[in-house]
Amino acid sequence: MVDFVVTCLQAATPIWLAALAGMFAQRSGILHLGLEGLLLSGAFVATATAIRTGSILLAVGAAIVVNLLLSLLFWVLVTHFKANVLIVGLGLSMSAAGATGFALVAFFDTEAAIQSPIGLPRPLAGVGGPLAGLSVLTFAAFALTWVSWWVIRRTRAGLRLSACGSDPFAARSAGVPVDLYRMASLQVGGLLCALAGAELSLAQVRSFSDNIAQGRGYLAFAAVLLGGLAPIGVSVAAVFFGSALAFGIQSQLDFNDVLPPQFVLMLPYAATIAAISATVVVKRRRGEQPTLVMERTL
Amino acid sequence: MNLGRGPLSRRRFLAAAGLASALALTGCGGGEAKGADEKSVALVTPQKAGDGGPTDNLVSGLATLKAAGYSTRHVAAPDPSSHESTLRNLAQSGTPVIVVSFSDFTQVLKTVAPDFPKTKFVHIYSDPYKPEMPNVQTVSFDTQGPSYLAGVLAATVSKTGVIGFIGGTAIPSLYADYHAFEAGAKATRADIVLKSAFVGSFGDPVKGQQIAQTMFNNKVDVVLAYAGGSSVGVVKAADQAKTHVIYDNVESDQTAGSVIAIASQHYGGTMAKRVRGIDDGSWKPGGTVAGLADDGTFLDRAKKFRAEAGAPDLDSAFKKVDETKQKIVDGSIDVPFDTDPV
Repeated sequence: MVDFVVTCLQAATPIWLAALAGMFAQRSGILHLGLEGLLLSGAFVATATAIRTGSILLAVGAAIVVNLLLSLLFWVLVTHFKANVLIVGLGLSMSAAGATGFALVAFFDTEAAIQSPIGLPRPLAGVGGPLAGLSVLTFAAFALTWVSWWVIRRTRAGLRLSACGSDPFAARSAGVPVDLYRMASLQVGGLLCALAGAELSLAQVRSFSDNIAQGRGYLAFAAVLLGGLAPIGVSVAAVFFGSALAFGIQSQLDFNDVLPPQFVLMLPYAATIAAISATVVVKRRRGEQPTLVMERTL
Repeated sequence: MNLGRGPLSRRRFLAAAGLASALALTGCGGGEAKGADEKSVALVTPQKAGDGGPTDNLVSGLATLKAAGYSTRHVAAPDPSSHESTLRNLAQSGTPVIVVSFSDFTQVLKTVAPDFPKTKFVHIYSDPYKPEMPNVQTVSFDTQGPSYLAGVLAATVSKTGVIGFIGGTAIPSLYADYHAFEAGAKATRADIVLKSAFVGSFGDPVKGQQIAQTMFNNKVDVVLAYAGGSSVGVVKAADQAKTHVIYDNVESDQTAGSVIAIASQHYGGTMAKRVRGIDDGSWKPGGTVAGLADDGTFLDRAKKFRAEAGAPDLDSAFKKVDETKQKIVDGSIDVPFDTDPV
């Protein structure tokens, strides 16, 4: 059972951190479809820097710097150039997929996986057992969820951030610098996605290969919607997706005679659609308003 | 040329463009150039070299041919829309032998090959064409042979009596490999227990690691990883769990802790043999199969494996593998080909 929980958490952690990033962006009024791209850039830069420098701190730091710059670019395109936020987000994800593949060849002269000699620290490595396999960022995800909850629910900045997304017109009328709040939320998102990318590439596999995110950024986006933009809700949704992935693996081993593998492989994604559909139905029955008001320019 | 001023300039430009198009179309008429180098071969791959896998292996076969006096050329064509023009250009320039790899080229080759009857095409890793084409030879690989041997090896070295199979995607060819693996394992040890799982992708090492970790938590101690790029994750999980992997990629220092054998295909060597067959007269059109007998597929002992305390006795295990291989080659063991789902 502990083994299963550990696998759930390991599968969930990158989605979880990226989902928190998406939550901040969406609370400020930006639908962030660039999570996949930021995961990829974070994973690549972290692995490449780990290989070149042998320092895990520099690796994570470099991933954060690159993702902050990409998030700044995202913000400039969306706010100053009034580009469509969905197109920019998708463009970021697709460009990152191409750029990281290109960078693999350009910097490492290979299309195969590059492997890092070092990985993320494991706080319980000395304890042994299944928990020893959890990286420091899994524990950080719990802490960051609490910090996110505190910022959003207990601080003036959190309230203003939420106002930027739920009613930007009213927020502007009250003197809230909406664009600056959006930049800040995207920067926080860039940082969280850098951590998510580092978790993806340096926690267990200690390697980067082309398109290693494999749609986890889009699962994170779904977790934001499923979690109703609430930090704890989003975290629970991300862990649910991680658990669905882990259950899919376990059921391939236990129910192979009963369920075809294609069906089991489909389960996490079917669970995503089912959970989001159920959320929409429940919200409609309660007569709840949508949590996000899109501005015409976005 | 000023294109923007006045109708005369535009007309001239359009006329020039029309002339250029006509010349280009004439060039694409399908004629094969005369006087081409008879010992020349071009390899066209859907990936660039540097993948540490099939493409590099094919390119190494090209190097073998170059050393044997062939004039060689490698063209990477990752963009499917360029496949037809690439093949036509090579054939028109008089390349007598063109090798293409993997299923990406099947439809294009069926279109191009009839226009260049003097050019011989070798399609590596392809099912036979129906109907057969007189200037095209396809080469498929009998991967069930090495899978059976992997079953023998895994069952021999397993201490828990539970072994695993991790495939990239759930497709018939991998089902066939699983059934061959199972047959080899059960023939060696009747009470062996098999677990199998598919990653759903050949490029998701993270999920490959999670699947392998789950298997190792369920008493599996030897895994056959047929998952391409996802197999990297299987190796990482095995390093952590101190278990063993039969691997489908190129071994490296990073695989030394857990990879005990490599089960794969000699794409390059097979390509070189097929191209040389054109000169020695053994080449024939239609479908051909490369397998254990002609070294097209193999299960080799990992050269870099670092045996630590408690490591399996690979000498006696591979002795058994070699005996079994000989029996497969001489026909006394019939490896099953069963594409039913696992």
